[in-house]
Amino acid sequence: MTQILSPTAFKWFLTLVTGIVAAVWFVWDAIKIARLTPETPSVGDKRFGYMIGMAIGAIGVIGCLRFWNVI
Amino acid sequence: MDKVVSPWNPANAVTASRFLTLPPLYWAVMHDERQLATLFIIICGLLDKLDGLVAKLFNCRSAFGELFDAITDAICYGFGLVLVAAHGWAPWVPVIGIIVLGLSNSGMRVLYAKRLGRAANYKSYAMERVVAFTGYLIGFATGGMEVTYFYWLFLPVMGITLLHDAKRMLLDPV
Repeated sequence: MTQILSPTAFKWFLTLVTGIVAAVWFVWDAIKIARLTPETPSVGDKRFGYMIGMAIGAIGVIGCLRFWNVI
Repeated sequence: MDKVVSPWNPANAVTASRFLTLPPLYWAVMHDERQLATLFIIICGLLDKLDGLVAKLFNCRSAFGELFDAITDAICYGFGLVLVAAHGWAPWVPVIGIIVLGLSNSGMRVLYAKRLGRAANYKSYAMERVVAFTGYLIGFATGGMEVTYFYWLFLPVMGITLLHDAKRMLLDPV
């Protein structure tokens, strides 16, 4: 089997690629929700979309913690 | 997006190049090459992000390009999901659920375009995020990362998103 990274480095790579993106995703969409105003075009669709983004971000971060048996 | 744009443009070329990642992905999964398989699905995902940037850079955004991008997402990620499930790296039940929901989404987009009377890609902020997460799902399977957790949690998220979009596409005024 080809090993580009050691098993530990690969595990860290997966964690960082997932965890950083998920955390940024969560915060980014939370900021976007906070900035919405009733005058924003398609405000309902955007609010729902950003909430789904936050949910996905949270799932990603929790998944990383589970991966390392933190929770 | 009123400007007429040829379908033979750099952004669509980047989108089409995503198909080139599928044969090596297949080879890597079949040979239990987890790291290589993860690498190929990451390249496929990065190309998905790159085509949007190229479209902006070369000012070649078009309705066809958006539709082509959505179709490419469906083919690449659908292929990846079936592949990892068939190889035993992901559970079949959520994978089948995701594919059924994905096909339902595609069908509703066709009905939405018919209601509009023209080719159009329904803009869903939620589904954009769900599709990006689908790419990650394949990576979780190739990397062996919390597969059961991610696959089973993804299903209700996609289901809720689809219900929301179904109302917007099929019931709300266009």
